[in-house]
Amino acid sequence: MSALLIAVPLLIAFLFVPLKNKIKYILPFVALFSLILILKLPIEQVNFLGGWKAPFGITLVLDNSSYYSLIVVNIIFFLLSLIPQIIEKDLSLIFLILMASINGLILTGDLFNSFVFLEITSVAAYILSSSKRNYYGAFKYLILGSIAGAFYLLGTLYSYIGTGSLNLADISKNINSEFLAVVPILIFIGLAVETKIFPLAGWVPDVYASGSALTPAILATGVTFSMMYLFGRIFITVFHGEFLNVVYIFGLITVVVAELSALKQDNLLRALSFSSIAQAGLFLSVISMNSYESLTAGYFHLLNDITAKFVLFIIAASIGKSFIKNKTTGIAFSIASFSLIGFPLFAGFRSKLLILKTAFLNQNYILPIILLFATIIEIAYVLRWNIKLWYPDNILPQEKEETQKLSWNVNLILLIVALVIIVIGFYPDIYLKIAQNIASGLTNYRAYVTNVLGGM
Amino acid sequence: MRRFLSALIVLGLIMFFISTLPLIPEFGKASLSKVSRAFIDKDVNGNGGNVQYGVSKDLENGAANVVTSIVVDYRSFDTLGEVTVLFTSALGVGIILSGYKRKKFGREPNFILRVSVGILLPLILLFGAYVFIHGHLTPGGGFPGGTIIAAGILLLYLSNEEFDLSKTVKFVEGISGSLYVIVGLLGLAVSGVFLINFLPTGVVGNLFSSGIVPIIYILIGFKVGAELSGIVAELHREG
Amino acid sequence: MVYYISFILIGIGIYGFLTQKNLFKHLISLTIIDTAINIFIISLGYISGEEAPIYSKYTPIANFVDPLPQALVLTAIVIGVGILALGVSLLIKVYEKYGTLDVEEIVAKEGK
Repeated sequence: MSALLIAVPLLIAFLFVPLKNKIKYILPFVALFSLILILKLPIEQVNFLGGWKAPFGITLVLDNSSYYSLIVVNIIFFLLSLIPQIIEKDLSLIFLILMASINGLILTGDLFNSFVFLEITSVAAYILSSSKRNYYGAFKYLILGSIAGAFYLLGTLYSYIGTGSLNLADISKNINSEFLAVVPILIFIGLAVETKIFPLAGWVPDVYASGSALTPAILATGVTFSMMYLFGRIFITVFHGEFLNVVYIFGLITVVVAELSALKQDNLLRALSFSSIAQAGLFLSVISMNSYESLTAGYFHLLNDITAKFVLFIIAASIGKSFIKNKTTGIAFSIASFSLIGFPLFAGFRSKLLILKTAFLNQNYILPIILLFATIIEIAYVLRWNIKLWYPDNILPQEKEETQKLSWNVNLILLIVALVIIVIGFYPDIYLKIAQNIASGLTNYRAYVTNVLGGM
Repeated sequence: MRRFLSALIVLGLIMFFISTLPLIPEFGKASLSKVSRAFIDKDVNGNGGNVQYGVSKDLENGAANVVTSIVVDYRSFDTLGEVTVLFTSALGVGIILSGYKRKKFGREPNFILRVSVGILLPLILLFGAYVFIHGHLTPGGGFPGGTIIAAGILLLYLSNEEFDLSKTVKFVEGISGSLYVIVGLLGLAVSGVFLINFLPTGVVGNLFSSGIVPIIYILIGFKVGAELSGIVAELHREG
Repeated sequence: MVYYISFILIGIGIYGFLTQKNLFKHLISLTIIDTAINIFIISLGYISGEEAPIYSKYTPIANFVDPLPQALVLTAIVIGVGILALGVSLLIKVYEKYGTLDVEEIVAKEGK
């Protein structure tokens, strides 16, 4: 039954090829169908596709972590499908395919199958990033992403040689230490482009800052979350935490470099995209401490970050230079940006506090220092952008007339998400529960192997 | 300076790969893993064994071509994903290159080209159809067969200026893709598992054998042929 | 040995991507890397003296090479073709927008 999460959006995408323009209005129903289907599925279920059992065929695995990740990602898709103004013509089919492929990435229990879904997601992302005539940025992203995909494929093959199968549970059971020196490096290079780590994150500003509203709204939230889930699944459940000390160092370097670059930007979209790179680096450093508490803190922070970025990117791409005609939108922007820096009373404060707590628990003092440094820089540019947008000093009168008011459904959705940020600041339990479930599903690899292979 | 640094990085990478050579079996001395052994003997479900060409009947998967049985039956979900990648890139080419006018050559295509296309085209299409219909008996299958058909259509585009297939191509592409997913959903409805092989599998080596495998390969052949023809048409139209 | 050839080809592809200035050569380097990896994967399954994995009247005993890497390469080749088609169409539009395919000139025009 969980295969329907992937099959139904694909079927609708294939059927509606001749009717590309009418499909925008069906999107909310497809997203709603996926959400209802997830709520009816049991939390733990292994689905053998084609009827072939575990190491021979492909399996779709639902456990604590994938169930809650599916809920998060499909809610993001549902919210985006309710604001069809930002979906340009012809891109709704790509939206459906992205929905199917991200569900597939989260559900899959097979390494080569994850490569195929990774490539589907990447191709859809290349097409999305070429909107608003941003062809050069999309081309750079294409070359980097495809070379990374080739390295991921190499890592898959090396693990096949080492363990004789491609199933994640089987690899987790059988991999030995000689191969654990090689395979994580290749898969890390493979995922480094999508998870925005320092040397290979050069594509992010050109792609996220193209001026289109749909591209960063889906790439910085849904796609990023599923890639971070895949990273956690592979490195923690399958590789038992190998290689994570190198990831830690790269994550810290990413935070420092990205925050310093964000400070220098004049363009709001580019500043936000550097902030996304920095948050991704922070997340990777936090989860590389490889304990239940650090995974919870990392995923909680990631959830807060994608909620804030959802609001910020849509506003930044749709609005001109000031909030004069759009007061409610401006309030949503300020709420989301204060959550980003971790202002008390907002959601980001809770997650940064949790990160500091787990870092001190592990007697790790470098991470809090870098976190503090990053927060100070964030405060600097977030306050500067808020002042610049609320009190524009040198705006010409005709520009004041031109900025159009955002339509009511966009404002409504943005306000709802901003209110969620405030609620999480007071009662963090909803996000915390999601993060705890993800963490427990990822660290409990014995249960994962037993579920899939049916008894060790 | 830049070339020197790049050469250093590349050298480091090659050294890294060479250092992994002790882990790989020597060339020509690989050993079949448990999974591959089960695929060859067709006993994933534990009741197979000695498979004989033309004799064994009603096995769990009756395709004579073992690679086809892996691609379309045991790991059919990967093939669905691959078909989606091709579909998405054909869509992408259409979206990115939209809005071009058709380019006229300005001179008549060559007489030799026109006559020989008239002779060669049926042969090419027939050969392509043969490759994807017999995908479970001989090497090849849906993907090479579809490419051969697209090559034939490219010849048609080159030799005739008034030729325009785009509406038919989109139609064929959409229908064959949805039929693939519908066959999988039929498996879900009939036996409770997505993409299960629910037709009888017959004798190994006959044309009508191995359940849904030839049906899916024919659908893939049409889909790949339509997609590659669509890409060729878009790139050809550039003006 | 085949393994050395494919490693050197991967090196050539990455060197091309890092040093060349023409964008089309980046695309060709990508194709070289894809081809090298496909060669590497197939050669991993080769057992010398054995037949292609197809049952026929010429192979009464089933001595086959490993069929699984061949199935994986089928998928990888098709994915490579799809990405190549997308890359070429992007290059057509880049040339139309900037008038050149040289990286340094494009960055200069972007910066203005």
